[in-house]
Amino acid sequence: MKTNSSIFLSISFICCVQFVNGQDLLEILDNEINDTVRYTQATFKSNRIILGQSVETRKKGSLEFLLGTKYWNRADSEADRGSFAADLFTARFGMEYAFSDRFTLGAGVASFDGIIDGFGKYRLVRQREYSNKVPVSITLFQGTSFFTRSYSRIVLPESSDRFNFVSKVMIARKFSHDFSLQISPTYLHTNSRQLGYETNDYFALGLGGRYKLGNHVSVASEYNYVAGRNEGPQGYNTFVIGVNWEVSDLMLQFSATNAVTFDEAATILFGPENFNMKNGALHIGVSATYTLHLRKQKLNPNN
Amino acid sequence: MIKTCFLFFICTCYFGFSQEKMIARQGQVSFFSYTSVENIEAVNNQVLSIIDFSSGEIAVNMLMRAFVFKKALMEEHFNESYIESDLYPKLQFLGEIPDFDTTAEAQTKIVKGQMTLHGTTNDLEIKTQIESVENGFVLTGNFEVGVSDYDINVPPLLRPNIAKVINVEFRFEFEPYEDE
Repeated sequence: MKTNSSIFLSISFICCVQFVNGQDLLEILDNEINDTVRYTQATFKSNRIILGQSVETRKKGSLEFLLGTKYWNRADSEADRGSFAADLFTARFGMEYAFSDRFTLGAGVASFDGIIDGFGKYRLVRQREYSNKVPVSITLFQGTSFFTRSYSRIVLPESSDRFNFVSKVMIARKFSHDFSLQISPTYLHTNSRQLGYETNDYFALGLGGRYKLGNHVSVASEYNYVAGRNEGPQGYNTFVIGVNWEVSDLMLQFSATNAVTFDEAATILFGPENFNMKNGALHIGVSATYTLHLRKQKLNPNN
Repeated sequence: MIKTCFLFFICTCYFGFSQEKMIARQGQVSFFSYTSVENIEAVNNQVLSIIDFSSGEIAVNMLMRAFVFKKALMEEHFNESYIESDLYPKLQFLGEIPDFDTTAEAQTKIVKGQMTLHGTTNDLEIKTQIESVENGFVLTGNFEVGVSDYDINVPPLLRPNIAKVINVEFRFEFEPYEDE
């Protein structure tokens, strides 16, 4: 009896071993996977959510060319106006280069307002994939812009007062495959006092989000709240809603906004009208970003 | 007496099994997509594979995020827009090597098994060259994977850029596996 049970046990043991073997092999390999730190990719699909900066930077050696355009009508535009499609047009051409995976510098110039802008971005903290150790990404942003002419209600100041400065801490989290959110406390300093302001320093809060409709198309939105002012003659808080469409190396961004400028300082502070569909307020934006890789990654690091 | 026999038997079983496994920790898998618009090439140097000689089974496991592309943006698009590696991080293959002759210097076998990628599992047959080297084996070969077979969606506008059938090459160097 004892012998029988022993034989039975050993046979069942062997059967067991044979039976679970395949899954065992995959389990052994699962345990062997080295836990290299992997950072979350594409919290946003480009350096910009739509018009405003995002936590994203490009990988080392990437050179980006940006062409942003906006089209809008004058507030007093008549139905029988002579202009084709839209009364006014502005374009910004910019370039951005990633000196490392963390650090990017960029500059650009816009046609309608003549504002020249430059910025630096540094990725301080990167959210991690497959773990909850680092739940958010944090990127520091410092931007400068320079007035070169008067436009709308902006009066060109003395040459020493033409600079504006923006400092931002952008904190973002990719909550899921589809949904990302960004919050960015912002400090602004303008050397000139425009639109009847009584101070040179401002605090603002930026909000941004994107939701993927598909693997290549997403809707995104941004809002900038400026503290300590009444919306009106001193400018309106800016709102953007739009669609991002990624086509290989090209990123197309379509938007509706009340901001006329492209640089951070003027966009946050000097929104010319409240966001609505009326002439003079609604600006239709079409932007294209092309990425060129000046540095190719090595496929075989061992060789 | 019987108890001792039984224990001894289990022990032989255990050690026997552990010695009959071989592992490849730095297997190399690369894939190529050739079209008239652009050529895409990527390499993963951290592919894991294990062979159990007692059952003739072979398993492969890799992280899709470990693929390296020449262009960083291609890598991001591959992970984010096609393979969706945040949702489906791994590729797994479980197959059988029929009549593995551990004494032969070189042999070619058809490995049959199932590959799971992007949440889809398909049967696969891979012609594999097996070469015996000092202290182990080297398995090499190549096969083709249909993009649509694994539910990977390519938008119409980008169809000319990505081949319908992707060529995959692999090379695994197996060494004895030590059970810990």
